[in-house]
Amino acid sequence: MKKLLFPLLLAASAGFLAFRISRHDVLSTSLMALLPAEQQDPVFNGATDAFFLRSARTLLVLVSAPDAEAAAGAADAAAALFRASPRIESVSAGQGPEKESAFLSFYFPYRHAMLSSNDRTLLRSPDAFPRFMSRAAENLYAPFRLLPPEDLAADPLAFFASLADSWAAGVPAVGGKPGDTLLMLELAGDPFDAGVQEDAADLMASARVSLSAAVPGSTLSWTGLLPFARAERRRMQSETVLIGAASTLGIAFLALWVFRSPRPLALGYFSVACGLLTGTAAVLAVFGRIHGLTVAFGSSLLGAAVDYALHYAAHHRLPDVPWNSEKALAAIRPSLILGTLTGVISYAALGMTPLPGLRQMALFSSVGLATSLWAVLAAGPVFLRAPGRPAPPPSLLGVMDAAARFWGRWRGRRAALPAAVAALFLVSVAACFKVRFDDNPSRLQRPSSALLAEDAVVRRAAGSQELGRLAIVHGTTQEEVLRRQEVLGEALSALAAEGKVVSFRGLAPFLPSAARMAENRGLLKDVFLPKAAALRGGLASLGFPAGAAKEFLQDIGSPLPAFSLAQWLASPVSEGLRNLWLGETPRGFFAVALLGGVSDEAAVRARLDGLAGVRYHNKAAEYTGFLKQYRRRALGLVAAAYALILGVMVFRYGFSGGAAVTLPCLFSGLLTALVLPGPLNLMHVLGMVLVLGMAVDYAIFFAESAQRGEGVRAAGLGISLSTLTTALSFGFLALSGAPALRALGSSVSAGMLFAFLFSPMPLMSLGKKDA
Amino acid sequence: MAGDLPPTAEEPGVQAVQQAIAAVPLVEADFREKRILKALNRPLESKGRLVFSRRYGVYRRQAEPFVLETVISSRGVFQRSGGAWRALDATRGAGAQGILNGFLSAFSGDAAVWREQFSMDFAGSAEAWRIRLTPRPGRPLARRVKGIALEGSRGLLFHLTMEEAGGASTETFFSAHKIRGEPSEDEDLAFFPEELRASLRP
Repeated sequence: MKKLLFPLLLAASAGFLAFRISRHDVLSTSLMALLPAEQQDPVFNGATDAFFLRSARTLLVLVSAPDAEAAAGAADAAAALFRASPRIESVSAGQGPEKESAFLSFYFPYRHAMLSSNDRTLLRSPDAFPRFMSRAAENLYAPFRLLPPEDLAADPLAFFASLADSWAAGVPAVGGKPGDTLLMLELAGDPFDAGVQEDAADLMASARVSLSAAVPGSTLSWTGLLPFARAERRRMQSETVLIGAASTLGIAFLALWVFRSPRPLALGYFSVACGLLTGTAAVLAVFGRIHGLTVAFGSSLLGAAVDYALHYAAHHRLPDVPWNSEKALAAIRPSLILGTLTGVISYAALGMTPLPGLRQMALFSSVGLATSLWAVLAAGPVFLRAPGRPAPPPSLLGVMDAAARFWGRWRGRRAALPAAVAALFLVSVAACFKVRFDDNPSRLQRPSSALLAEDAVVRRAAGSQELGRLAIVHGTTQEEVLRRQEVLGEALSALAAEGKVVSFRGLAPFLPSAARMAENRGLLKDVFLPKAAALRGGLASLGFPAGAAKEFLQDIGSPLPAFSLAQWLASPVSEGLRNLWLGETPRGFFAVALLGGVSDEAAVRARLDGLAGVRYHNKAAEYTGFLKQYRRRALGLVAAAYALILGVMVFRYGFSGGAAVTLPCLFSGLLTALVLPGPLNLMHVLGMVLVLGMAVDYAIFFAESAQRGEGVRAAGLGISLSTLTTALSFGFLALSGAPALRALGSSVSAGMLFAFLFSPMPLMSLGKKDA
Repeated sequence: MAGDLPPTAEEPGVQAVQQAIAAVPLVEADFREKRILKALNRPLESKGRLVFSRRYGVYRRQAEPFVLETVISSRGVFQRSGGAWRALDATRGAGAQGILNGFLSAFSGDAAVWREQFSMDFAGSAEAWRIRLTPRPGRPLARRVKGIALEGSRGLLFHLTMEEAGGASTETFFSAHKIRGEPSEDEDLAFFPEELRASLRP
């Protein structure tokens, strides 16, 4: 029964994995998926994420026709194609006569209730009446009218013209050419879903072909989160496959060369495959999806998990006594278990954070390592039952022999350990001075220049709006949100006037509160009702018929008109603005305002966070903060894990032995930090976690061999092979196009070199002098 | 009348007029304008002086019945009546920008731009010509303007009639022209209000 447990675990994991992969897209590439839910304020919890998820589904498409005449035809052809796709939920055009007339017919009836902020200020001034009369004359004599031709007699004082003018103010200048049309597409699915990504890319490719056939000379550019997420996913997938294949072949070559038999290699692959299978299944069972970085980090488990099989196979290759597979396994079992335990402790430490990204990696690595060990313990003797053919020791051992002799020479010298600790202290001091961190998320991703160029073209035409800086507005009722966003709009106008913000886009000018409309109506009544006769005379002198003044006075005296949120959302006038209304949630109502060109972050934050129900967010700074938090927690928890490991080692090997086993990993980590060029980031730190885990394994293998009084050449062979296989895996990773994978690869490659050289350090305190 | 002239073979008269207009990079003139708006029961009349610069657009200073200054340039529309200059922000939209560029192109005399923006009817000779420009369907300007009729002699415009899509029409007479030779950018800009010069530079 006990023997059936392991095959049962593998079968259950494989079954579960097959089930999940067949039904869901399991790979995630979103950096957001690695970050924790917003913790700072429970009221705002989820509101920003909801906005970003909604924005993530938006695609901006720029259709450029050779001239303005062809633009309408080209845009219509593209829009028709997008509307026919089941992957696209809605298509809206940014500009155009239809939209202009929609604005006019929707908002014109409210021209005496919705007022521009200029008009509100003017209405409060003591000379409001004559100034409005002058404006009426200016409006009539203006030589050229840019606004749609509205009914002048129905708006003799030009309130609607002023409102339409105010809508354009604050919006960044549009950079499109006359032949350009901007379309806004809303995806019907998740932009991180591989199927959705590929379908969208195919749709754009076919739209390009159809468009250039229908309107020669026209082009199509597109952007959004999807093309970037797609490129990142494809790169991660292809590099993971390539790196996996290259390192697998490299390991195969090495193992066949050293062991001259395929059996150790088969054991190694079997144990690693078991680890990857159960690690992936565990992450999918707990988190639902697995992130590309977890796969990359976890695939490097290959380097650590294969060590158990290699270590066992090294004893098979260089046995101290006639080979007995069961007895040999029993002899090295403590070192394998101890090595796995320290690895699991260091990885599990990462899992004790609230950060989903680190918890995924911790779970994957811990489960994977434990399973790989179990695979070697359960199946090792089956794979290596027959003794190996006698052969001279492999030449590979030369360097390790030299390192072992160097460290062995210090055995018995009382000053050796204090000198090593002093050296470690000096290295630590040097690391403190030299090592700098940069947690900017842009250091972890580097989109292709072609994608960035296309993005820049489309965003320039769209007015260079930013999505990273925003203010979230909260209220317990819809009316409260609308009122609060009006206050926010005034604060943003003031900041724009001070030059601290270049542009902003919120709903306040388009979606007024009932209180604001009533207040506006009151202002109009206060100024114009007492001057009814002067108004009639003034408008008549400009040539307006008598009915114009009468209608205006009647209008401001009648009950306040209103439109519902549902009407607004259903109207084309809300296209391009709807995503700023987050709507009702269990915690109340939310809306968003976007800021562009913030030049004084502190002043903006202070002003906006001081408003009731408003919270300012700078997502780029927040992501940097999250990554810094990740890195600090990872470093802190790993330090704690190593204190624990030191305790375990002291318990097993005594004080000096325990210290000598723990020192190599500390040296390896610190020296790696010292030699890596440039500022370090989270991925370097994760790389060092791997180095620490493997370095302590190596030291344990030496310590156990020395403790048993055996020669250490078998351990040395195992460690040399482990170092080479790890260097192979991570050396390829260091050549990756993805900065995150490159950081991981370079830190582990460098670290393993140090781990290799320091691994015989326990020989200073343990074993025989001539070992 | 020439009808809608083919793009490559304008009448020699049109070419001569276009060349003559293009040879006048900056011109000042008095204007007298009559505007008819459907909403009003009488026409609006105004007088003033106007500068047209091919580089920077139009500066129009209305003196009667009240002072109203307007600058129409590809950088936007600016207006003031006594107080400070006010940028009409609605000109920042892509649609409005297209209308603005179309409007300014009517005065450019640039053959290629005319062909692209308008269908043209020409009558007369280089000494006394009349050109009717009808915005091509689908052009942004067609949303606001039905047609522009220009009358002039050689490179100078004497009479302009503009029919707007909303039913308004404007008739302007120009007189007392002053042509400036080939002004440098700064000399050109000096004809525009000082407060706006920085905004008008490309």
